[in-house]
Amino acid sequence: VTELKSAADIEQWLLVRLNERLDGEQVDSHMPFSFYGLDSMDAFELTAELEEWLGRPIPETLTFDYPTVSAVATYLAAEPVAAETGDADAQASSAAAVQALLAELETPAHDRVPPQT
Amino acid sequence: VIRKRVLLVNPLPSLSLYSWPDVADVIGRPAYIMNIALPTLVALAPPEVDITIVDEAVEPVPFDADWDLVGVTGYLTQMRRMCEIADEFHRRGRTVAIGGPYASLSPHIVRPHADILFIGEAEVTWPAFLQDFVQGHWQAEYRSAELVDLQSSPIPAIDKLRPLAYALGVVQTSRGCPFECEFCDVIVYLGRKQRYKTPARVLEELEQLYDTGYRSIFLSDDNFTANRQRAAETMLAIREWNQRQAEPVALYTQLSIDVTRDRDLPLLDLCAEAGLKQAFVGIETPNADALREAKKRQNLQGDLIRDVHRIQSRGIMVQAGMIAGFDSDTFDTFGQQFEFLQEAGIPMVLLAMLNALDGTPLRQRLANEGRLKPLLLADAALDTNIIPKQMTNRQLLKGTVWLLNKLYAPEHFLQRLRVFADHLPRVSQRLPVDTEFWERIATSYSSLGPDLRDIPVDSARLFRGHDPHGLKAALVFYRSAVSVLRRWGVWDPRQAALPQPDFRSVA
Repeated sequence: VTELKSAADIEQWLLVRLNERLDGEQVDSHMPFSFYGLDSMDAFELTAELEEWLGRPIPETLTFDYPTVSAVATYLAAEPVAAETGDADAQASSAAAVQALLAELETPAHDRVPPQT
Repeated sequence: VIRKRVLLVNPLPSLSLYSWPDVADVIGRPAYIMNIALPTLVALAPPEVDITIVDEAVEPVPFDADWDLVGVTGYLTQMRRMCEIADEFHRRGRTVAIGGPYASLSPHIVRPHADILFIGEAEVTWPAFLQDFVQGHWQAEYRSAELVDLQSSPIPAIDKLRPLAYALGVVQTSRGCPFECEFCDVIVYLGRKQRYKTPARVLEELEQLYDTGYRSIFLSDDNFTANRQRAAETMLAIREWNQRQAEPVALYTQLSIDVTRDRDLPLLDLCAEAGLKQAFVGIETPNADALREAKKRQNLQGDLIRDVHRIQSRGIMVQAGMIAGFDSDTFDTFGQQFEFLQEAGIPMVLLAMLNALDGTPLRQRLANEGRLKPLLLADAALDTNIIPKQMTNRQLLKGTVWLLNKLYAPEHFLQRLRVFADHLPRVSQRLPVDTEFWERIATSYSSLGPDLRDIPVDSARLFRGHDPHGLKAALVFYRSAVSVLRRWGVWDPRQAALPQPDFRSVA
């Protein structure tokens, strides 16, 4: 059984690997790989290392579809966003948002001005 | 007689602001916009072939079914998936044909993935090929000898598409564009002589979509207003038709900003009366030197901000295509782009870095100047094949990522909506509220986190007393733009907080 890594773990691992590959340059996880001049061969090698570390197969085109450290880490960890988990709080907040919006839309416009010419 | 089983595939585009991901829950339909190329191919086919259409934005590709032929189409944005799908079918021993805009403009990329390659428009070559195919002998390449007369293009067989799978139905009204923007590949593929469908034919296709249930329709046109007389004739017919409908259709199209000249304002009024609610305009940049350099002369005739407000004041939302990375662009251009878009009040901005596409004059010029470079990761979405003139590639990317964050920070999006709403005409009667749509919007936005969940209610407040059509479209788009930036991983509120891109230490 492979251990499931968190997005933060994967992000940290990628930042260290890229830092080595880029001779010590600090990598911003929100800047595209193209910013760091990473090409298809770099991406291929990085994906292979990542596969070994995670112990599971990764699509070859991963860095095309997920072009930053942040995107790769989020995708591989696939943690549901808090508000998308369907828990009771999220549902209540969603219902409140619907009500607030419909109430606004039913509000008559008081401050009407003549049509523009 | 055993009919040939043919599958036609529209591949999923790569992630970009043009690909409209993650909006199915908001629009209540699987995909945003219909592709009518494939239904047109169905209408062109002889009875000996039985065609199935699969749009990957709507449903998965049936790789393992038994097809005599698989055809794949696509634009540049679909190029990677197009080749993957072709290869996947080859592994299963199928015969694969590839055609469409990308195959026509970049045949050298597509050729290794295709048994049969189509170059140019399909109205003549596709039926000729199918004739050959039915007889068992065909060529490896079919090239359209000339630009087709649009009158000869049949009415697309949209009954072959999943019913109401899209937010937007499509009627193609013309092909080609008379302008000569240096970066544009449309004129390379479709030519500078515009070819039109007659108003009667346009109505016939609108009617078909209306009967199928579509109430939002994109008039697919490289430049709807380039020929003023034809635009007026078509819109007069549409106005008369649309006013007869129980539920008038909302129309979208593409036009150029020069339709806001004083003498053309009656045409703009007519467009609004006919039901035009949204116009994609290639504004590209507020940098006049860049517009001159790109030969985008039609954008240099007036004051761009006034021009945008003239369109908005007729109840038409402007959706802008913007480009960063022209030779005349400097470090200051990114900030100027931002200020311009905020002041113009353009909620929907499709920003990309300039790329030198196959076949364009830009490509030729930069090749001569030794300023082309390969794309690093095959897709152009966050990369360019150009070596910029007044900055490095890193600086261009830094500025572009800053601008994307700046534009799509919630407060800046709302600010643009406010300017847009302020320029919209007031509506005197109370418009019915599309409750189902707004419920979907509120639910979807409430899943985006505390910074974004109040956007629908805040923006609805700005639109009190106005037709909310543009707001609805803008909220659908913004939902997808947030998804694109987050899925790319470039969403970064720290960038949005900076007054200018931080070019320090970026060489």
